[in-house]
Amino acid sequence: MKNYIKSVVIVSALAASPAAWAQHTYSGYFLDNYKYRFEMNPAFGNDNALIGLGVGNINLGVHGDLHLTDLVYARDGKTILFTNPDIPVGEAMAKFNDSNKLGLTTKLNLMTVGFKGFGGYNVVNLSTNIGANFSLPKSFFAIAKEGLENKTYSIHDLYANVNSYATFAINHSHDIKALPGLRVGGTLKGYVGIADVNAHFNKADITLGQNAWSGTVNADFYASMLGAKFTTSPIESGPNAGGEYVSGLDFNGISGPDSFGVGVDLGAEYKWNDLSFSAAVLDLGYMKWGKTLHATTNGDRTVSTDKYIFDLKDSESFDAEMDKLQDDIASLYQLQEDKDFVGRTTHTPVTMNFGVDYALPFYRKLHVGVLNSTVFNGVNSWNQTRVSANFEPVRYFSANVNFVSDSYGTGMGWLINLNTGKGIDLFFGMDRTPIKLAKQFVPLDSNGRFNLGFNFIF
Amino acid sequence: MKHLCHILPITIVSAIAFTGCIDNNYDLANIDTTTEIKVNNLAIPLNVGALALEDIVELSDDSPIKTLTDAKGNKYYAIQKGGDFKSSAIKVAGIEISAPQMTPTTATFAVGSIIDNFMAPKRRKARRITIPGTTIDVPETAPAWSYNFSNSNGSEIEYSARNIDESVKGVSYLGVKPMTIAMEITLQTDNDNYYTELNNLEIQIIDGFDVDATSEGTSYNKQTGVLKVTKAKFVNGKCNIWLRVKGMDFAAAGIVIRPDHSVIINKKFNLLNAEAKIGMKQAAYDDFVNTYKDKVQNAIMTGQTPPGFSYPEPPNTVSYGISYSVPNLVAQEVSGELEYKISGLNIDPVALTGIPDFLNDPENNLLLYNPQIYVKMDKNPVANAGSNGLGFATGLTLTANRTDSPSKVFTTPGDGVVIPGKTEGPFYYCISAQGAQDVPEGYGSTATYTATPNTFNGKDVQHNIIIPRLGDIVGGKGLPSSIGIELTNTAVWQQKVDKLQLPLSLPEVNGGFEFVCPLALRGASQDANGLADQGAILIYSQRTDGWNLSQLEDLHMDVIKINADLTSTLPLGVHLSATPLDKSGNPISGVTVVGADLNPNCKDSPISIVISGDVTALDGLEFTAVVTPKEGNTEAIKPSQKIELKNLKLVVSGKYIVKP
Repeated sequence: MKNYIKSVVIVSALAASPAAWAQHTYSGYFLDNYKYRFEMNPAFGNDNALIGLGVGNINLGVHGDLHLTDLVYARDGKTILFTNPDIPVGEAMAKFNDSNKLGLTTKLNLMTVGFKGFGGYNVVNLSTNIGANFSLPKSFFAIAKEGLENKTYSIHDLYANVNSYATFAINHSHDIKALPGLRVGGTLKGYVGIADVNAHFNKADITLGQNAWSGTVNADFYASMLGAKFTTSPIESGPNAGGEYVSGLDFNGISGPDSFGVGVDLGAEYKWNDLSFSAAVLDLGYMKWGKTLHATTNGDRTVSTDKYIFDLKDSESFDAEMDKLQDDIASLYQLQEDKDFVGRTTHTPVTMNFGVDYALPFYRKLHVGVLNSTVFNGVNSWNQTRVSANFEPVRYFSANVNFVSDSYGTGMGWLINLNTGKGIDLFFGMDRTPIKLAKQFVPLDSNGRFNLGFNFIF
Repeated sequence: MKHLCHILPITIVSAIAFTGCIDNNYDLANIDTTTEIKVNNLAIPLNVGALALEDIVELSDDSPIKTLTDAKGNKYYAIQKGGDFKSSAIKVAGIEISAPQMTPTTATFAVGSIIDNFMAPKRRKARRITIPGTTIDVPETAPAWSYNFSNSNGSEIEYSARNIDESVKGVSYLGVKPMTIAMEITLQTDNDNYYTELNNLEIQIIDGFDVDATSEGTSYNKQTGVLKVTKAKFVNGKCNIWLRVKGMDFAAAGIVIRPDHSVIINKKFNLLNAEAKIGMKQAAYDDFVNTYKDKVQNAIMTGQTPPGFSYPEPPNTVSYGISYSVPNLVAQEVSGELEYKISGLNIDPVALTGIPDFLNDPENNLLLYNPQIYVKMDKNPVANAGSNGLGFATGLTLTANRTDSPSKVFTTPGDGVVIPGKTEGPFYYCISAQGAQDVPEGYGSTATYTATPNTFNGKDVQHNIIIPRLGDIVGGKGLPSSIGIELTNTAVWQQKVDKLQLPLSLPEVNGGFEFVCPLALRGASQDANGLADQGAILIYSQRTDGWNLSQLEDLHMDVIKINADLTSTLPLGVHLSATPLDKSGNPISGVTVVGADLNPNCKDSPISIVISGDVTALDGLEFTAVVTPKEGNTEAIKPSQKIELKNLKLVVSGKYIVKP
């Protein structure tokens, strides 16, 4: 079983795209029938025992503020790029932020067992989180659309992250009898990191000055992935001649987990009349990565063209100076392996959820809720506020429709949950519903999340 | 479960309703990927090192462009070519005037015809002869008759010399190998009892002989050619007369060299006059008197009347003859006029090949400030010819040979290069536009050419010869193919010679030359006559094309500026422009180019070349520099002269359009 779990985790990590934080089905936060609310607030329990295997809770999503409509326009019956001269510069550039993010997240609950006991409700859960995030600075698009001119282009917000880990969680929640209406819960988590790859330009400034062009780069690349190793090439010339630069990542298969960590989720819910207040902090923990590859510029690397003097009289000298310039420019991005780097510890992305739910007195099967979530994850930090209408007319059916405003814009979500009381439980929904799709069903907005689950309830 | 069956369809329909709608305007399968990336006055700064002329001027070993060093040690560029020349040896053939074979002159005269008053000579003294019984007086001396004798039928003589060396233009005096002209006169009567003799002979021979000895009693008049013999000594009827000749005074004799280089002396040797005498030999007269005495004695003895005395009959005829021995006149020295053409002075033309590109544009007009050619004559072979010495002179012709237009010819004015006689060499000459300036090693110093001109045998000896327009030698459309250097009319000009030894054999003329043509481009100016001199124009085009850069195919540039602050130590102004080229190597049409003017000797002078228009599919640039020197420029371009570009920026405005 142990090997099985390990294999499942590894295969899942390899098969999916990376993720940066655990994705949940927020549309189900206020639906009692949604069985995985404990992931968003460990104080939430279920009325039934639960078994989910493989497809218990599947979350797939993209997010970001870089939308397809930022890049592609429909004009006069044609689909054109934002770089098309028919698109005014102002119109195109207004759509870009200083930092333009795009991410993919996948969360699979591989095994979930929920049951009542120990005075409350308990869940044992194994899941994988896989995701990728990258960010492009506005300068990128400014160069393409506004054109090149003599100014400084800062692209320090350029980064990419690929992350995959598995979580083994044991959750327990129960009512606090001393304070009626209060329910608390906690989840103890164990993290098994499979891969974490980060590439980040801490600084990347290109100054196209009137008198000199210069570039400054400060970048780091981390790859925590057992079984991977850098491929290097010799640096034959330039300031780092004689050394080697990282030319690639040789990856012949993950041979095992590279990280272990622990964390906790803590949550509480307090019901007062028709109001219900809930708060949770999730993934309060860390992961310690073992073997980690580190490639770095070792601080700032700067090249300025004013130090190169081209000798027009001597083609060999001219070529040599040009080679030197090219070598120095190459040195900007020729990261060198930090062989002394042993490992690193990363914090897990902490999420804080606050919810208020109000059952309408005149029809308590309909209740509205407001949820605020904040994910603290560095450059990938994220926040949302979701206002939802929750309709639970019968025990077999519940539905939610919500409107959300988050770091990536506004949108709409919904969730439908069906169950047979005892037997099967099915839910599907979309935390962010793509409003418009391209002809090829590609969302024009970068935010879309699909949630689906099938479980057995007892 | 029953409820689920009712709810599920409703749920699915609702779910679909919540999903997005399709916007067919967004067809990702047919994206028009046309992209325009603007380039907004983008300045591309470049640091380029200073560029010295020596960095771009590559001179091959066989190039006529050389790097020379002036007196201050500064190097400069010049067309430079040197060499030696050598003439044929100087030879003037000897003169030998051949003498004819002369036929002796003979004549026989009847005594009566030559003695007008043939009669008994006047009795001047009697000889008394006592004969027994009587005495008789007879003339004491034998009878004799004097008469004047001449022979106009003399011997024709033609002294001649053909093929006299052409260099001998005139002879006033010819010193000859001493030779003796001899004459033998024979004079006889037909009566042996008589003798005949000549005295005070005047014999016409050739005039002009310079005689240093004669036979006894003989004198020679050079002006008249008359040989006078006061007393001819006849022995056995023969009288030998001679005179020894050491020269011939052509001037006195009026002898000239004919146009066909011959000398012909036609004369008739004849006996102009002589005092002739026919007399009876005293012995014979004595016999005759004795015979008369006997006749008188016999008559007395026989009683006959003694015969009177009468002279015996004179002879009937006199035979006269004269023969000559006239040797050839072999000249040993000559005085007169000599003109000798010195041949064999050949100099290979200076081929203008291997010229650096920047000088070789067909539109160039390379007018120079001061081309110079230095000529050295090691010595004057005829300096000490004759007693006065001779000089020689040569012209110098520089020809800019062109195949597509008439060649320009520059020739030394006046007397040209004059090498005086009676002076030791070597001799140095500078033929130039402005005077000696860049004196090459082995050709003296500048002072060598500032010596005060003098004259020799009527010609000006100048060491600094100016050809004012020589600076145009390589001017015109492009460079000439070569520059011919010829020593023309090299000759010992016609001069008087005195006692010039013949035959003459002297060494050849040896010398050398250095053509030094500093690349000091002449600026526009006006000459003394107010005529405009447009000055040199040097056009240099450098093309860099065939870039074949796919990135440039879609780049539409509206404006390309090349800005820089220029420092130049060149004494030349330059108008610099750049023409964008398409893939065929042709200028891109519709493009306006505003070039930049670079001032001579400027410092940090801002320049800007602006190319405006739609420059698309750029595949190369052709840079054109039109170089014009500053007015009054005398400075040659130097390897050390530099162009330095500071703050060089390529400023580009345009757009990069990528079409699917």
